[in-house]
Amino acid sequence: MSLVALALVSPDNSPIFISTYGQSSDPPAASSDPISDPFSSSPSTKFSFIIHSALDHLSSPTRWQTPKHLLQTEGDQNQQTSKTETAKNKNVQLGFLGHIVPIDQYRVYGYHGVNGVRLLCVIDEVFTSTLTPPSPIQTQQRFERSLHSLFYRIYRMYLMALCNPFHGIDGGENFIKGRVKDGKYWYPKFERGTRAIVEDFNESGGYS
Amino acid sequence: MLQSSSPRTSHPLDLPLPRRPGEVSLSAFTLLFSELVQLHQTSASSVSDFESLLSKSGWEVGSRTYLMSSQVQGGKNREIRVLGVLQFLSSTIWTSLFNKKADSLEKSLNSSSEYMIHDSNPLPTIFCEVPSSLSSFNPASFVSGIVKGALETAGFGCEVTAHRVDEGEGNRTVFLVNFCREVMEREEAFV
Repeated sequence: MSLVALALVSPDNSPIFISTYGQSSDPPAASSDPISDPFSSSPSTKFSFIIHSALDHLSSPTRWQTPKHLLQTEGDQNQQTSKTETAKNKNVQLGFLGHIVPIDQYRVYGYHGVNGVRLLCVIDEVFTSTLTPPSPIQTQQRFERSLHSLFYRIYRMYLMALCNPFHGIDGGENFIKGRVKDGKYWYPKFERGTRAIVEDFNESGGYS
Repeated sequence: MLQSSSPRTSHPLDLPLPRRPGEVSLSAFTLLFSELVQLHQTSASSVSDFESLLSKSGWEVGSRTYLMSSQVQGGKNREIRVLGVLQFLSSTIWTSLFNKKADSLEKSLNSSSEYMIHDSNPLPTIFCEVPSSLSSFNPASFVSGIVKGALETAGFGCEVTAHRVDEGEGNRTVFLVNFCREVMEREEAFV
């Protein structure tokens, strides 16, 4: 399983960052207009569509809560704290949202940040590694835990990028609220960092 | 035979400054704040313009502080209620910025969407003395910008204004937070 696309979406559903990784067998979509479409230079429109439909799933009423099994902390001695946390976190989307929706041969996972920013990643289900075939429940949960830590690292990179004072220079509000200026991304450090994290994740076969 | 000084003894000037991580000296911050105020004073055309520019600078501080504070707390709780986020603001964020909690948090009797945060001497303005030519200006609009930035990043749109409570020498300030209609409607839906 490899991570093929990653997107960062602002609270009002406008994209902040979108990128694809690994070899994509589809040629870039010819329909994207280089002037009006700021994403024409990188990912194909296919992943944009996948991410849009995953966003619709996130805002549907059936997905208001973070799934229970993801809220529990590790270890049985934390049973008390996990109970109070589940009580507090009722009806709140926060942190790792888990599996959102399967589309074609891809699966989309999500992460909800504190200020409403969402991180979505598209996982290619086709096994390309030499590891064992489609996994039973335990390896699936292990995979989701490593995905959780991946999201956490990328979210922290995003916070570091936000703290850069130069990123606010032409209207800090726009950066934090996620409005992309002229379709240009000024976040090279963030891009390099996430690329390194994702490649590390993909190389280890999805278990970092 | 001359002996060089042993590597253990070091000059006082070489020793690191004892400082808890995350702390900044008040003098350094005050210098920066004074430069910020002077910068905005030259570029502003009116008193309200001056206040809104200062407030915008505060917005950036507030929103980043909110994100980092909630991350440092473990990122496990997102505040969705008005009272919850105001309490988080007046305790955690105030402590991380000014090393003390806000004096009090009150709900206004006049309007259901107004709340007040009291602070006896907001840290950025402890050395501020407004000249009489700018008597209506309140430098605490920087702090009201911080409050606005933190609340808006948490998802609560609002307007924040700073009012000086006249007590002669004192610098008591009240920050009036007025939440927008959507937030109050959302809040009612919770009950």
